[in-house]
Amino acid sequence: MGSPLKKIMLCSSEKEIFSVEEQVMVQHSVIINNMIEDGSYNYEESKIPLDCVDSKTLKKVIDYCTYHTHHHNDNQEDLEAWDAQFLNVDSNGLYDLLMAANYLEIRNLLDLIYRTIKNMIKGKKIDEIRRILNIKDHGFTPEEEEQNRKEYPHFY
Amino acid sequence: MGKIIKFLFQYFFTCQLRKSQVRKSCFTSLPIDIITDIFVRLPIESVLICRCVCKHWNTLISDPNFAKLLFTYTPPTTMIRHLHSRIFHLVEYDRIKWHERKNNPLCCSVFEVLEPNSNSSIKLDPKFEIPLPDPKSIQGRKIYVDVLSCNGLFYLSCLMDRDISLVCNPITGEFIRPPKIAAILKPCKQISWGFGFHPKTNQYKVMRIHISKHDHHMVVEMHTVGTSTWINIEVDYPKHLIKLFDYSTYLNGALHWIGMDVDGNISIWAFNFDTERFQSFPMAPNDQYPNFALFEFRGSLCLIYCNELLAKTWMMERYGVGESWVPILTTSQLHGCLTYHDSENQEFRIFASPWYDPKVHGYNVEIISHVPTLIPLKDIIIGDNVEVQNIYSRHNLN
Repeated sequence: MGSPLKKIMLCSSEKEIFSVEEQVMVQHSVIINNMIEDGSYNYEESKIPLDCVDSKTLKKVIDYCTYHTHHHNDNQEDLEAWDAQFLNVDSNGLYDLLMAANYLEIRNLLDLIYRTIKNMIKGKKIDEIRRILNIKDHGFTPEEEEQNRKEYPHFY
Repeated sequence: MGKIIKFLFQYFFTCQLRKSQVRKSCFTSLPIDIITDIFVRLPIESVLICRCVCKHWNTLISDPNFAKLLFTYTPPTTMIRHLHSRIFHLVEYDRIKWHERKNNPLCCSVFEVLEPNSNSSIKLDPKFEIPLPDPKSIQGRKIYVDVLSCNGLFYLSCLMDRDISLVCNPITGEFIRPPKIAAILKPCKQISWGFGFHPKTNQYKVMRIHISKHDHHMVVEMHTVGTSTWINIEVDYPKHLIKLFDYSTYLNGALHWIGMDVDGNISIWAFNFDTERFQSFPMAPNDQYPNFALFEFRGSLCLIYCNELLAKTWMMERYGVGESWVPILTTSQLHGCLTYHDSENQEFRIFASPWYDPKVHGYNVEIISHVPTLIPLKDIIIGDNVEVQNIYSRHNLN
C-alpha cells in the first residue's frame, strides 16, 4: 500500500497531467495498484499515460475514486445518492466512463455503470434503447431491419 | 466452469471481431467482455430485445457460445399458465416491482400474478404462446396440453392423443417432434410421464411408466430426444409398487416420483439415467397432512405437505439420505401456491401447493419451474432425428 501523502501523475489522451493521491488510485484501480506494487512506477519521473482516457473523463474517474476513498464510511443511502448524481451524464459520457473504468480496472465503478446500463435497458423496447444509448447506426440492412420488425413487432 | 467457458468464448469472439470490425466509440461497438458482463445481468426478455437493437449485439447474442455462457448465469425461474393454456408467462425477478412486499417473502398470490388488469405489482411479461398442431382426430375439441420442463426445454404432449407432442424451447420457439409411442393394451391404473436429462451423455430423456392393474407389472419406456425410437427398459422394478403419483421431478440426473405400495405406504422413487435403476428414499416425517408434492429447490429435493390451513416444506439436505430431511418453511395455506423471495440474492421462486380449491382460488393455474435458455436446439440435441423447426413460424405446424 502506498503512503497517503504520496502523489502520482496520470496523463490523459490530451497530455494533460493530473496529480492524485496515490492512496486514492491504489485503492480503486487494479492496474495502478499493480504498477505501484511491482515497482514499475518511478515517483521522480513517471507519469502514467492513459491514451484512451480523455481529460474530462479522467477528471470524473479521479473524482469518483477520491470521493469513495474519503467517504467510504458514509451511510449507504448517501453514497447511492452521490453515485446517482455522479452518473447523471449523457450516453457518450457514460460510454467514456465505462471504457475508462474498464481500462483502469476500477471494479466498483464498473459495477455501478453496469447496474446503470442494465436499468436503462431493462423493460425497454428497441426504439427506446436506441434512443437512450444514442445508437444511430444499428448496422442492419434495411431488409434485415424490416424482417425483424415483422417478426417481433412487440419488441419495437 | 462458467469462468472457463466465458474466457474461451471471449477469446474466440474477440479474435473474430477484430478481423471484421472497425472500432467506433459507441455502445454498438463495446468490447465483447464488457457487453457480455452487461447482458448476463439482464432478464431474458431484454436479451431477446437487445438482439434486434444493433447488428453487433445480434451477432453476439446469436452465438451459441454466448447462449451457453448466459445459461450458466441464469437462475431457475417460474413459468405460469392457466391450466392447459398454451400461453406461458415467464416470471423473472427483474420484471417484478418489489417495493410493496419488501418485508414479506411469502405474501404474493397466484391471483396477482395471473390477473393482468388488477393493480398487481407483477406484470405478466414476457409471454410465450406455443401453438400445437391441430390434427383431425382432435379438431373441434379443446386441446389440453401437458407440459414438463427440464434444463431449459419443455416436453409438451396432448392429453387426448399423446402422439401429438413436441420437445421445444419456449423462449426461442425451436422444436423437434419425438417419435410416436406404442399404445398401451393392458388395462392400467395410471400412466406416469417424466422428462429429464442425463448429465453424463448430455441427452434429454422422456419416460412413460405404467403399472398393470392386475399383476402390478411395471413397464418402463424411454425415449432419448434426438433418436427415432422408444426403448423398453428392463428394470428391476419394485414389485409391490402399485401407483406413481403425478409427474416427475428432475434432479441430479434422475427423475423422482412419489409412489405407493400395496399396503398404502408412500415413498419417493428415483429413476437414475446413469444406472437405469430405481431407488427409493423415505419421505419426510408427515404429521397427518393429506396432500403432498415433490419439487426441486436450490439443488435439493423438497417435499411439501399441506392441508387447507397449513403448508409445511421439507428439504432433503443430503441427496438420498432419509435422515437429512429438515423443515425449511411452514406457512399458512391460503393461496394455492408458495412464493420464495430472497432480495439479497435476487432469487424469486413460486411453487405450486398440492392443495388447491378452484372455488376458493378462482383461477386454475399451473406453476412450472423453468430455466430459460437461448441455446440453439441443434447444439444440445444430437441424433438421427433432429429436424429443428420453429413454432413461431406458423406454417411449420400444419
